[in-house]
Amino acid sequence: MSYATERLIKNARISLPGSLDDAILLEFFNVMDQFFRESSIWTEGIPFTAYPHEPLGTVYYIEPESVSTIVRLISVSNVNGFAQRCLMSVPGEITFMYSPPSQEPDVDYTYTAEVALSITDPVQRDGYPEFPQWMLEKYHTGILSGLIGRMMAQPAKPYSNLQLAQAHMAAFRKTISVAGTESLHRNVNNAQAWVFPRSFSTRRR
Amino acid sequence: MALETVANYVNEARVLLQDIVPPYRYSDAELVSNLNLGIMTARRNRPDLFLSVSTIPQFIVSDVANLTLFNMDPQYRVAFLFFMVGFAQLRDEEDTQDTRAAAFIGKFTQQLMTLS
Repeated sequence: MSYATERLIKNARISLPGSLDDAILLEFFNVMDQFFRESSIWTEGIPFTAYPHEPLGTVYYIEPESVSTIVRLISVSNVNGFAQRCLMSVPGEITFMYSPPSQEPDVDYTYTAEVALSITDPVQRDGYPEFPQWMLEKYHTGILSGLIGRMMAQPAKPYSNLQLAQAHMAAFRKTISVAGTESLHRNVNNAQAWVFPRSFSTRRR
Repeated sequence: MALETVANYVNEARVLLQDIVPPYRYSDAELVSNLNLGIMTARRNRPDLFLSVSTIPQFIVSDVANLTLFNMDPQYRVAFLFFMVGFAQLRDEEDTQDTRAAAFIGKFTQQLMTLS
């Protein structure tokens, strides 16, 4: 468990008298899962190979390197960085909307799928899920609000408090929104989400 | 730490029941049974107390002598003690005991479900 996680759990204990660590841990998993699924802040580029002669509809299987589950496909690009039109009807299974374009015989047919990830089992030995720690450090207070909010929304507990739960969950949802926007801008202040000229970077070749 | 074994619960219950000199008014088997009933009731009100086990713990009278552990979060150990005492006193027919029994069982529920 990292210092950031430990601090988060300690903060949660203070706000939730009578709570149990096992229950906090369960909700911590739920909170982080919601945070990653809705913000798309955790991404990974996964390479795969697709050849032009393969029929349309061929499924290319991808798997993230980190202990995580794929949530959605953000983009697929070829070795030159040009965007490809692809679908991912089932997480981890990519199909091209058009046949992979023919290239020179000696070129690299490797494509990179950028996907958004979320936490998954197995968790670490101490029961905490694995994810990049900087995300927790950056959005610590918002995630804490999510954790406290979910705990307070539980019925018939010493720490149940529907009114406070609603306030905490609103703060959490705002954090998810901020994280999603900042992720789109790659954490650059006032940055645009695309590179000029936009049609050039997204045009199919 | 206090209240770690089944024997700890039985001994502490005897103090509150003023039953520490043999021959006992309340047998070990009765008090252990009361603990089991408390666990069953707590499972209904606070399932999160038993997240780490697949079946709720139930004890027998030999667990007192064997110093068997009752693995419970320290925040809620006293609540189980109150239930044991309250349930033991339910069997008494005197009016004063009824009030005391209700108070102990009420305290058990209160500690599980509320802040006080």
